[in-house]
Amino acid sequence: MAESVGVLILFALISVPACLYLVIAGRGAGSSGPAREESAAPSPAPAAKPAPETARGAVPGASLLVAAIAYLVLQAAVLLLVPWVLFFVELGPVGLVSGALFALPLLVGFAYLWRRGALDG
Amino acid sequence: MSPETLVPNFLGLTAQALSLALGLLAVGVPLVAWAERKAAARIEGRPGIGGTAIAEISLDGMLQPLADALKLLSKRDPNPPESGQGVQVLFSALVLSATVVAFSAIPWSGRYVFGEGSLSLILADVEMGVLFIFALLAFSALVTVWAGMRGGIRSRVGTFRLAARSLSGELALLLALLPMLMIYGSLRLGDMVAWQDASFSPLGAWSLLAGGGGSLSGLSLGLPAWGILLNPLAFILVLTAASVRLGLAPFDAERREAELEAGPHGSFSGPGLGFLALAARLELLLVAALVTLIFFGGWAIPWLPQATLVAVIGEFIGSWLANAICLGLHLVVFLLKLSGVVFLELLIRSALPRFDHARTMALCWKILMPAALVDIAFTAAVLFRLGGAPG
Repeated sequence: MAESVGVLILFALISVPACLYLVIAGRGAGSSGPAREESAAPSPAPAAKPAPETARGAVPGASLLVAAIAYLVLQAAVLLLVPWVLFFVELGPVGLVSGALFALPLLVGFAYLWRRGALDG
Repeated sequence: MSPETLVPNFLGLTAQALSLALGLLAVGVPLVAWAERKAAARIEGRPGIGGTAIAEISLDGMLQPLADALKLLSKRDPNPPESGQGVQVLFSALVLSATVVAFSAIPWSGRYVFGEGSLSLILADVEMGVLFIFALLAFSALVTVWAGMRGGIRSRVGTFRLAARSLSGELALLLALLPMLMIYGSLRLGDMVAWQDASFSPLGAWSLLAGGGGSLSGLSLGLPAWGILLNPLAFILVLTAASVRLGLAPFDAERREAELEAGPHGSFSGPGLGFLALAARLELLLVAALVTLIFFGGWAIPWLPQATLVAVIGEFIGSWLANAICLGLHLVVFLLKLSGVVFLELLIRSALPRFDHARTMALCWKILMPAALVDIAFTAAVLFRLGGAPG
């Protein structure tokens, strides 16, 4: 109880003044200074070339998805390992073997991803 | 449960929260910012900052961070209100808040008994300390991604890199931390330090491993049971993975000035950018604090456990004062170790050129993760052989 209240108080202490400051500091934006005249005339500068999506070409959408799925699966697995490592000594040989059995499919999946080149940038 | 524990002491907690926030923002961040620039200048053979003077007081450039902060906070947001970018700067407040709140689970000292009660310099002694910090950092990364995707193309490309780097770094960091959690058997950072506040004998552990059956405490050669001595590989992996996770240099490919300008922070200016700069310095401090607590024994003084220290001093001046002195000593020791780790991080940042994005990802997936898996298997085998951690 006291822990969560302390966290909430700290959060409020930082975020409320920071947000208020940003709102107040942003209020004057764009309202002062000479009004900008919207001109319909085309700019004398030629239209800028669209910037490339990345330094090396298009954003790799498909591999990003694969990476995201791989990440989700592995992350969930690693989080499931956390309680196991905490009680690992008490669990004895059964814990050791079951941990290895749990990790085995993941390791196979990881090796598969690696071999298929999913980890190459 | 007594009413005292049911109704938290709001005033006390607020005072603690206020002092933590003030200590971090008014002392920690300016010092880190100053040390960062001074160390980089010294390593690169430049004179560095030192010219800023307020009323002819320069303090070797220590006032420069203050001047920077004042400049950023007093700048006006250049976006007109109708652009809708005004709301976006609020994200920076959320990033800053999440980073500060992550410090609430960092213990700054052990627990000391004063008469009836006890005192510990920690705002929120949460059961799952490490995971709590991870969750807040994930929240802050999520908010940064959210804000970055609303910016221009450079900002969005930078945000893609940031998202990929944070996700990979987080996985590597979790894996690299698992062997330490195995040894300590707890997620609470205070417990980890209490565990390290003892000594172990590496020779005893090795003779046990080799089947010699030597007793752990019977051997005279004792070393502090710090994480870095128990598992040096984990230290290297965690330091690297945490730097990747938080995008500390040299793993900040999303902020390559020549290519992406400010990357995900490209659409921020003025106070918003100032808050993000504060959060970045705090993240450096947070990594240093985590590494200090997990690998360098936190506030523990080598060969002088808390109980012994209190007992020895207490014989002369009484238990109450002995506990107070112990608290002060431990706080100073922790801050000294913390400064050492911060300096190590600054050294790494200055010595290494910025990594390419693809190389950072390859480092995460092809080096850090397999190495962490090997470390887990090795630690599991050793602990299993020893029947517990050699504490």
